Amino acid sequence: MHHFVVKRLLRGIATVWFVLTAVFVASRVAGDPVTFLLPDNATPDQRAELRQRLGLDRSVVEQYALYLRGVVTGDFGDSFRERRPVTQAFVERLPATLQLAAASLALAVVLGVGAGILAALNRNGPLDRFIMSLTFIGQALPNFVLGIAMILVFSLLLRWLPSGGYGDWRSFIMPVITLGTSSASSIARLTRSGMLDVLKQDYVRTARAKGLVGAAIVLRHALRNAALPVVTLLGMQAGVLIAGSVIVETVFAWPGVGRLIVTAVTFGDFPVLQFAIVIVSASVVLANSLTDALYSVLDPRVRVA
Amino acid sequence: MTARRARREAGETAKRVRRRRVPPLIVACWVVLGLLVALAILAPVIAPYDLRTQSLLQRLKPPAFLGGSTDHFLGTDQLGRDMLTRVLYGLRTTLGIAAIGTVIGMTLGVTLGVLSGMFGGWLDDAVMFLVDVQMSLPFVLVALTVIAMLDTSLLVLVLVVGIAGWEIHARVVRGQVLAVKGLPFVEATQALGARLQRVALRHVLPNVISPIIVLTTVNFSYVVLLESALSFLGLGVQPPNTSLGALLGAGRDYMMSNWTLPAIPGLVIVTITMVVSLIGDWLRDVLDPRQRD
Repeated sequence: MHHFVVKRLLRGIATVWFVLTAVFVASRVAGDPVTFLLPDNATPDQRAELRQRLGLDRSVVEQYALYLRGVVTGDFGDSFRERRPVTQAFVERLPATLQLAAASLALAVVLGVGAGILAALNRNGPLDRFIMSLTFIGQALPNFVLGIAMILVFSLLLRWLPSGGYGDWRSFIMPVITLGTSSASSIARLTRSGMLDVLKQDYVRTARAKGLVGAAIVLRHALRNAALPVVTLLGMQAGVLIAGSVIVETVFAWPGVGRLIVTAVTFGDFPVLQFAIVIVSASVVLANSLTDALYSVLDPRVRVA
Repeated sequence: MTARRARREAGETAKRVRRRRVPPLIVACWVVLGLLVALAILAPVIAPYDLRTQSLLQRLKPPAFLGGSTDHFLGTDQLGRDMLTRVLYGLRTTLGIAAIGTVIGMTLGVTLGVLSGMFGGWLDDAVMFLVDVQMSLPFVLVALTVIAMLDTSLLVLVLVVGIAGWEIHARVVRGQVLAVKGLPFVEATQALGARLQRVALRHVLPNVISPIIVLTTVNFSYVVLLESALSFLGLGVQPPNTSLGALLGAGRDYMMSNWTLPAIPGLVIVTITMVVSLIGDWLRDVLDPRQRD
């Protein structure tokens, strides 16, 4: 088990290192980093000063070492738009994004697992067909279209919910549904197919023969085994949710990290973007590694592999 | 004996015919997709106005079916530009970029996948590492970084959507290559002295065509979404050109005065992704039953 987890971890570190290096190389290839790091109206003096501070007068190898040192010590430079450390700008907006993502993931798991079990127990029945059609739509519907459609109906037409912003619980409803829908659909499909596989197994028949009633079989015997692929999917949802929050936060004017990233691209705020891609790739890789570790706890067979 | 055989053969033929019959829903999907492609190709011919013609006196008019005039069937935007014209051109841009992007992704992925599977070794390790990296990152973020560094332009956008789906192709094709490479008849051809090139082209490629077609369909709707999302954020297709995502993004700011401005391009995007997804599911069932879940 340890060997397996360590291997995954090393792979993850290699991925993050590759991303760091790619960003470094790309920023050097794309042109003078000073043009990215300073606003267009910077004076020649400011440029020269920054050039020296960043060590751009040194060799590329030295620059690379300095860059990695900055990353390790958490010094990612200042956002030139906000004129303060990017880490500060990022941390300030993190809670809003985490709340949104956590609520969406919770919704996706509850709805997805519930709908998946219902569909599996009613295999090929009307309820199964209905749920599967819904999940198809949920997967094919782009979040920016869904978000705007909901604003049109619930804010503009019915005036039930605020069209955007970060406030009381009502402001959470539409962003959470928008962000969680596609995850819920994937989870429902996977839970259904996992349950169908498991319900065919001998031990489920045995459980039934022992006289256990439906709910006990479903929850104690079937779901635990059907959950394995779903757990893998949950790890992958970290990336999906981060990518989704970039869009959903723009649609609903949500003051989170996703919005920060889009603004950074629009204004060419390169330090912010650089930090974002490093932190996001690190957290996605971490989420995937944790998933693998969790997987080996849930399924003893994996430990051997 | 012969009667039974004949009956069995008849039964098998019937089964084959039944299997080949295309469900009505899929026929409808193909018709809709064909129609959308035709509209996109013919946009410059059938669009009633010029893409850029503004008329400030005709701003934010509702579509004809909601009480507007028939001069502007889908109404007008905040600058008085004809929405029917803009949606047609937007459709053209979106489908065009998606088509080019899908082809780039497929070519890149298939080439690297075949090479990786055929040669193995360090090349295989390198390609698979890149696949891993791309699969573990949210691609929207990679796209945003590339756009931030290279600035927004049509070329950059095509490049970005082109590299969006290569990794799935590479992974699947590599797997297929490895599977086919171990088959006795391929080993036999190699033993007979066939060169690697011949094995790749004559034996491996025909065996990976089905999954490639399925993946290309999946990738196409993904690329439509990616382009729409980037343009929606204002980081994809730039004015005066437009795409469905750009129209949706622009329409959002004026939905208080005319809700059809975001609704119509949104509806077209959903239509494309639904239709292509349904066709993709059907193709997978027909061509590649192994991938069924």
